Formats: sequence, C-alpha cells, structure tokens
Amino acid sequence: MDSDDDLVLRCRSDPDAFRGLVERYKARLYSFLIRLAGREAADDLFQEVWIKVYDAADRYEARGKAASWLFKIANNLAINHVTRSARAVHVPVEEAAERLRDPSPQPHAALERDELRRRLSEGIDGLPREQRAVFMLREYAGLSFKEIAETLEIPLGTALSRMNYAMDKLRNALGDAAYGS
Amino acid sequence: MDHKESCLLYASDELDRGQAAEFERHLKGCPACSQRLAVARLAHGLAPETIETPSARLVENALAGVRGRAALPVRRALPRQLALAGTLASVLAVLVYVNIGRTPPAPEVPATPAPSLEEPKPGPALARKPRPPRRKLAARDLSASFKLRPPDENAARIRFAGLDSGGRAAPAVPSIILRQPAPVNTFPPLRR
Repeated sequence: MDSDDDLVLRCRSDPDAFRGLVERYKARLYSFLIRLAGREAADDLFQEVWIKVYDAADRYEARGKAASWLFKIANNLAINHVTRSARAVHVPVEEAAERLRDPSPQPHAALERDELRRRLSEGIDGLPREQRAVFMLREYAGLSFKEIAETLEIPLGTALSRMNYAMDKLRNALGDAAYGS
Repeated sequence: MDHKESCLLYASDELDRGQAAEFERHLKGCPACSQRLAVARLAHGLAPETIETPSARLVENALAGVRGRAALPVRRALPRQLALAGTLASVLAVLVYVNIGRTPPAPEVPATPAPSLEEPKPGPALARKPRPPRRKLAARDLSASFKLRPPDENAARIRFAGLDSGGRAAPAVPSIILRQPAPVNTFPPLRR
C-alpha cells in the first residue's frame, strides 16, 4: 500500500493517487470539520480542504507527517470559517445523538455502547473549540501530542493541558461508565 | 512533567521505556491517575465510532472540484489568446470607425417638401421619385471632408495612427481630448 507521503507527492500528477488520499482521509477529515465548524459548513469546507491540498501538494515535504499536514489545512480552514461567522457552530446535541443512534433492536451491551457513544459525542460538542481541536487531532487524526503542538503551533505543554481539561469534561459527560471501565 | 501529562502520554504510547516504567509504578498507588487513564482509554476506544463518512456525492464533488482546478491552466490560456485577438479586433474596429465615420457631406439634394397632415391624394403625387445615383467615395473626398471639418468638432474623437483631427501628425501616444464645459458658479453670493 502506498504511504501517505507517496500519495501526497503524486496527487498532482496522478488522479488515482489523489483519489486514494481522499478515500483514506475522507471520514476523519469530514468528522473533524463537522466537529469544529458545524455540519452546515462541513460540506463546503470538505471540498475546500481538498482543493487546498491539491494546490499545496507541490510544496509538501515528505517527512512522514501527511496526516499532520492535512489536518493542519483542515484546522486552519475551519478556524477561518468560525472566525468569519463569528460564532462557533455546534451540532445540536439531539441531532448528533439521533444520527449516531441505530434504530434497530440491539442487545443490552450494544445499547450501553450506543449510550456511551452518544454521551461522548455530546461531550465533544460541549468542549471549547481549542480543547476540541486537540482532542480530535489526537483521536480522529491519530497525531501524537508533539505533532498536535506543531500542527496548532502551540507548546507541547499547552496541547497536553488542553487535552487534560478536555478529559475532565469528557469524564463528566461519560458519567458512571467512565469510572466503571 | 506532572502526572496528568504523563498519563496522557502514557495512554497514547508516547513515553519512552524509562518514563513509562516510572509512571506504571506511580499508577499502582494513585486512584486518580488510574481513573484518568481509564477515561482516556474509553474515549480513545469510542472516538472512532463517532466518525462519520461523507456522502459519495460530496466526495465526487470534491474530486470534481480538484479536477476543475487541474484543468484551469489549460482553460486560462485560451481566454488570454481570445482577449488579445479581441483587443486587436476592437482596435481595428475603432480605426475603421474613425475613418469611415468621416464621410463626405451628402451631395446637394433638392429639399423635399414637409409632409402634409392632410390625407394624401391618390394620383401622381404619390409616385416614388427615382433616387439620384450613389456617388462613389474617393480617397480625395475623404481627405477633403476631413480637412473641412472644424477642429473642435473632432475634439472628442480618439486620435489614432499618428494623425490628429486635422490630418496632421499627432503626438505618439493616443489621447482622448474632451472639451471642458465653461465653469459656472452655482453658489449664491455670500451675504454680509
């Protein structure tokens, strides 16, 4: 399988490489954009991200940090959007929970899992934007804290501190399940 | 680095072996850090389940947007050439207009009587008069009319091809001469 670096480096000349990159990151990037900029803006931003990726691909330096590079582009676009609209757009909690809820009957354990997922989703949406960005770069993009710090251009200690605050809030959102696991 | 930070780095496997061993020793005697680690692991396990996949249409739109981007340089080249051709064509059109616009004065034609408001009477009066034959324009006629025209009548015309309105050599740079209206003082006189 091609590495992320290979795909980014070839994406301007090889449509298949570009498609491969999109397929690999589409869900994580899209979810990241939904969480940061809101569902309404996410569709437009998703397209904008890929255009930016295409435009900037010839300046990409292959150092094995394609995910960090991609999410930095997405983060900057999302922040610009939020700043422009001058308000942080959150996915309504009920809507997000409804979307995540599968109406089909499930065994008890699966229902518990579903409930936990809903609580986490609500918890993420309730985080301040800076903490949300750190959490999602860690959990959606799979970046290390050092990479998160580089991506957001903040000190490592700040990235860790934001994640700690986020974890405190998520622990409250998850409730008893967080203590029992 | 405090224990909270160590806990996050431990959960994401970012501590080196020595640091990890040290944190594990601390973890055995610290319920707060144990709980913190449990929450981090739970969130880490659940987070992928909150990821949503964009619709196929959205992905195709994104790909199409980039394909359009890739095609832009080719598309840009054509309008540039067309724009150049258009500019040349408009320059030629202006030149033609400037020269043809200066047609000679119409030949003396006997004045036709003013149309009457009365009902036209049938008869020979309605018979169409034969038109006088058209005069061919000669270069001499054009230049004559050109010179006969008073200079200020051509003042607003664009001077081209190194000739001014009198047919004389003009400054090298084409210029537009606009007549300025005489200044009119519209303000009422000041009262003292």
